[in-house]
Amino acid sequence: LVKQTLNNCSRLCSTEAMLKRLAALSLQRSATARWFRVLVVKPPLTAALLFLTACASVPETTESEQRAPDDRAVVDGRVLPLPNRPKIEVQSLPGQQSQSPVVRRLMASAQRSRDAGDWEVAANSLERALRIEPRNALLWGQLADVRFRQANWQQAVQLAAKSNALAGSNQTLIRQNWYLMANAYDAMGKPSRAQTYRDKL
Amino acid sequence: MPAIKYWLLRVGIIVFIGMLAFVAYLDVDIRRQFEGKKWALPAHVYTRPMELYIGQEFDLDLIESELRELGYIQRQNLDRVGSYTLSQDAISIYQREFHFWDGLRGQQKVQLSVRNNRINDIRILSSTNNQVSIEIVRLEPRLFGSASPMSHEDRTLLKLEDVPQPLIDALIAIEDRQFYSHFGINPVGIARAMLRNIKAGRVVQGGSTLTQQLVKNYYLSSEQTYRRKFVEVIMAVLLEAHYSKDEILQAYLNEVYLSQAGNRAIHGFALASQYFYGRPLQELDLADLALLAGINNGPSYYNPMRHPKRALKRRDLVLQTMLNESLIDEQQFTNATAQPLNISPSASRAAPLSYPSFMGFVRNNLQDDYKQDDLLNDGLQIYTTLNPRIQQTLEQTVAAELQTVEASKGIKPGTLQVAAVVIRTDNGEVAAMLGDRKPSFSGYNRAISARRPVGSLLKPFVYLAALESPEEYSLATPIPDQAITVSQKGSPDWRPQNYDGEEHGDVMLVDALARSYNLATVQLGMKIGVPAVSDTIRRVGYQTSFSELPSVLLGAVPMTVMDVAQIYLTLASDGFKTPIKGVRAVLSNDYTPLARYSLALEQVVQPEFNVLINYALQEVVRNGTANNVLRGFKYDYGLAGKTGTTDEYRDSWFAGYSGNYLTVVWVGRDDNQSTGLTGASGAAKLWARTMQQMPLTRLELSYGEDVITKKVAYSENPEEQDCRLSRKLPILRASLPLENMPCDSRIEYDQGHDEQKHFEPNPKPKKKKKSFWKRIFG
Repeated sequence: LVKQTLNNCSRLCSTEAMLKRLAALSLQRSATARWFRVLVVKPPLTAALLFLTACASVPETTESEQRAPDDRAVVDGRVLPLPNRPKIEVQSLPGQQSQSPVVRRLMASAQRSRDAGDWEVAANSLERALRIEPRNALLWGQLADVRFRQANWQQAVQLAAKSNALAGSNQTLIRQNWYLMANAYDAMGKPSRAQTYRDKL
Repeated sequence: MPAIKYWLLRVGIIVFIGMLAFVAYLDVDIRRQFEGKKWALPAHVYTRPMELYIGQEFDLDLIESELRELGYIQRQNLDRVGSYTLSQDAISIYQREFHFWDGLRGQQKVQLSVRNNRINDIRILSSTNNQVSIEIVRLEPRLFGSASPMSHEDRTLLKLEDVPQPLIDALIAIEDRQFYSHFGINPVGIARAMLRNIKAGRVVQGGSTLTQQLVKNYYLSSEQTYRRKFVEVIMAVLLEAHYSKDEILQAYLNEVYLSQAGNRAIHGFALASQYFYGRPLQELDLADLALLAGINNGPSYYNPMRHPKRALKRRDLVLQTMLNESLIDEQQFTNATAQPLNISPSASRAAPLSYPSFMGFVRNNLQDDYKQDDLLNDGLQIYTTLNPRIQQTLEQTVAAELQTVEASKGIKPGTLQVAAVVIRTDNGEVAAMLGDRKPSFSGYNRAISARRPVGSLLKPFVYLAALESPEEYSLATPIPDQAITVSQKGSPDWRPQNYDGEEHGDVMLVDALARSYNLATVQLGMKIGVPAVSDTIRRVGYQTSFSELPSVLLGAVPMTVMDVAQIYLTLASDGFKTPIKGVRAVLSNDYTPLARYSLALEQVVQPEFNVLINYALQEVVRNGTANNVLRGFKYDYGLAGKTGTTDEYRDSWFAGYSGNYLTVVWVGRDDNQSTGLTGASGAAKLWARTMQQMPLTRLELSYGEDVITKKVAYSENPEEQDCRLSRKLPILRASLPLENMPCDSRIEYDQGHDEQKHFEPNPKPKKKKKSFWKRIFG
């Protein structure tokens, strides 16, 4: 029911009104902008409820009265709605386990392979998970770690960089990746490159 | 007299030695054939497996198309392997055993429950009523071809113990009743056949044993001469001397020619079963097996698709013979003969599903790592990246849309050619490919071979090269769209022109790209230098060398669709260069992993610059030259793309991407004549229709710490610098001190903390007012 209403909601309410209301509400609750981002990109139940609240209290504005936002597509004077997929596939906050069940499952299986030293099997599981959630920064980071264990320094560095490009505000993950990159550059015999990442830590 | 005797003896000895030598020669020959062909398996090539997992959007049509293509049949009860059942909110599948690259998955019954249009539960159903919940399950991939370019033959190796007994019974009953007792030939049978042939005055009957037929198959000759027959008989006897009955029977079952699908010869019963029924041999009924045993005698004469009545009669004859031999009982006979020819409607579809363009690409991929002979003979298991659902979409859409374009532009039907590729942006896997407007055409593959100038497709890299100097350029930097003359040593001056022949004054960098202004691009490109632009093009993934002339700025570089895809893939995947690939893994014939083509990346564009170019390419679609592609999309996927048109409308290009797929399309003519199409009126239309039918995700731009959203004032009329309009643009912090922003004094900084990283749409509606672009073009 919640999901269905949510779908209806996203169709009825204009998105920016929703975002704005959501921002206001979440700012009241936690007063940090970081929370706002987390809630927008990963609506757990609380976010869903916030959406509903926002939906109920904001009168619908007809889109024709509104100038199209600069980054939205317009066809025949109508702003195209955003695809209504729940965006579950973004980074998690440090200490929070909010991966989707399938990704959690594949990560656990990758972990088992890592424990057994089956690096290629672990990489295979992580790549399979990445096909499902290609923008999950944690998965890229774990793949970087597998390549590091395999002494594939070059790919370890690149995958860590990819992880960071998607990590958003997940500082823990970003620092982990920097640490890995520093060690990988050391292993490659590039101490000065390593130092640039160590300095960031 | 003794002289004559002596003479005869000499001749006799010579003839005898000659005979011996001949037999020895035949012996070597037939053993080589048998040993070679016993394992002469071309590689097996599979599509990607469809993955089904919890939380996934449930698309029944998609799943059913996949299941049908795999030969699954919908039934009332889940009582047979290779079937599925449907209920209100669940689909249950009795899955076949399959060897994935990461291990064997046995037969299993799996149930997927659906709630709110998403998969919310997956269970393995076991016989003991134990149910195990799992998170993800995959359908087996579809075998779609062999990597055997020379022979155009297909084979699936069958072990004798995997062959249903009724098939063996039927074959022996109808073809060679003495198979287990004769020594390769059946003298009685031959005598009977010879008698008939002498009566008829020509060869009308073979009287061949299965062994002889096998020999005949090896030499792929159907000529029936006495000389041929003689050699065949000797070879059959030799075969029997060297090999057991079981070995010979297994070879026969794998070798025999059973049908022709286009230019592919269907050899062996395993493949024939896939071809005629779309199912493995083990799942066939008695009636189906009897038909296969029957058509064996005359594959084209008894072709069940062309001559259904004849084939049915033949099948019933086989069944009758089996009944007479007490191999089946009366009940089985009655049931089987009551059945129609169960040729599944997918059989005719199964044949041409060989994706020749993609196959060609896979072959190129593998030729770097394997010898041609290994590809032909080692029976490699090749797991590819092809997504048959997207391939189908691409094929159907291109066929339909190309006709529409031809009709609407008054182009002679059938004259346009096309090449296209669809690639996953996260890992560079090719999902679909088309190298000809006829998908089944296996000749010239334009997608990987046709090199054509790309026109404006290279412009983004000119602008990228500029934006990588954030102290000098931002998306808001005014670029003069003014006539320019480029002098080159040894060649006449170059005076490029805009598409509309006009000059547009100072335009913002983002608009110069979005509206594909040639003059602004050349002005900018000459300022940063052709070598810098050329370096950028190489850095993002173009490997062929090209002459670094100023005309590079306007795309005078011949590229294939794959080349274009490679450089755009870098933009589509956050600035990481990712090799395009068609293969995930290769296993040996006994499933030992040989190679895994794992994800490989190289960061070649820093994310903060990449995000700016992506924003500009989204502007191409939102407000620029590719605006027409949006019509027909239900949702805003944040699409980014670029049109390309070459001189005299010879080539029509479009390259563009959503969050998950990059698609590149070229439309043109093989004779390089004008098509009259721009990138927007040709390739972009095909691109849009294809993307509209694909499962897309939105291209979300993740602005890092270095990017802020800034309201930029600009002028309605660039000549007057009235600064009456404003818009928000992502600007790098490093670009903020830029002196050359338009209407600099009116810049308003957005200091809201949450907006520094998040590019939020403008919330306050302005007074209803036609935008600058709409006034000009609206």
